[in-house]
Amino acid sequence: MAIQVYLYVLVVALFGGMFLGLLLSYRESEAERAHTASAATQARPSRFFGGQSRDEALMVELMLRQVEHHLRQEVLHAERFINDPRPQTLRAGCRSGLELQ
Amino acid sequence: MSDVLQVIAASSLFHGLSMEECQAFVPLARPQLVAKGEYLFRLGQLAPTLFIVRSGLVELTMPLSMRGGDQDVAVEEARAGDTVAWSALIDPYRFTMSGRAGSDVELLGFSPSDLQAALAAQPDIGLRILTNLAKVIARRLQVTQTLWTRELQRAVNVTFGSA
Repeated sequence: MAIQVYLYVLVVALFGGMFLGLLLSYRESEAERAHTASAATQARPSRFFGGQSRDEALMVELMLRQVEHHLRQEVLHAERFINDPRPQTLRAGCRSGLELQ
Repeated sequence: MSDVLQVIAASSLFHGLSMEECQAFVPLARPQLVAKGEYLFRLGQLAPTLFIVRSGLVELTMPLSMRGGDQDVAVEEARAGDTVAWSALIDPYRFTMSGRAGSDVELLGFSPSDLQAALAAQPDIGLRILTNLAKVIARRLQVTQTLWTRELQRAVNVTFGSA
C-alpha cells in the first residue's frame, strides 16, 4: 500500500513538473515574441510622419505619369487625324481609355 | 550670321521670312535661360512676353485635381523653333496654361509692344507673321477639338454601349 502511494505521488510530481515546465517555457517564448514584434514596429518609419506621405507622393507621381502618357498617346492620335481627317482616324484607339494599371 | 537670327528664321512664328526680313527682329529678341523645373509663366497671370524656344523642352501644363491636391499635368510640349505664350499678343493677354521648363531651356523673348510696333511698321511682314501665329493657334484648336471629340466618343461608348 505504501509503495502504491509512493508511486502515485511520484507520477503526479513527474507529470506536474512536466506540465509546469511546458507552461513556463510557453510563457517565456510568448514574451520574447511580443518583444521582437514591438521592436520591429518601433524600427519601422512612422507612417504618420513619413511613410504615409511618401506612399502618397509616390501614388500621385504614378498617377501623373500615367495621365501624361495617356495624353501623349491622345495627342499622337489627334495629330494623325489632323493630317488624315477620316472618322476611322478620329476614333482610332478610342476603345482604350485611361485605366489604372 | 548671328545665332539669334538663325533661331528667329527657323521658328514657326517667322516661317517664310527671308534673312533680311528677320534681321529687323534681332534687336527685339531678349535671350533668356530657364532651369529645368522652373516656371516660365503661370495660369491666370498677365502675359508680358511672347517666347520662341531656342533649345530644350517647354511643358505647357493644366491643373488636375488628384487625391485632394492640384497637380500640373503636361498637356502639350514645345521644342526648338516653337512659339509659346502667344496670349501676350491676344486679348485678354492672360495665360490659360502654365509653362514649365521640362529641361534647361533657352528662349528668345519678345515684348508684345515692340513686336506690334515692328509689325505695324512693315505691314506685309506683319501679315505673314500674324498668319503664322494663326497657324500656331489653329493647330492648338484642332488638337483640342480632336481630343474633346475622342473623349466624347468614349463617353458615348460608356453611356450607350459601343457597337
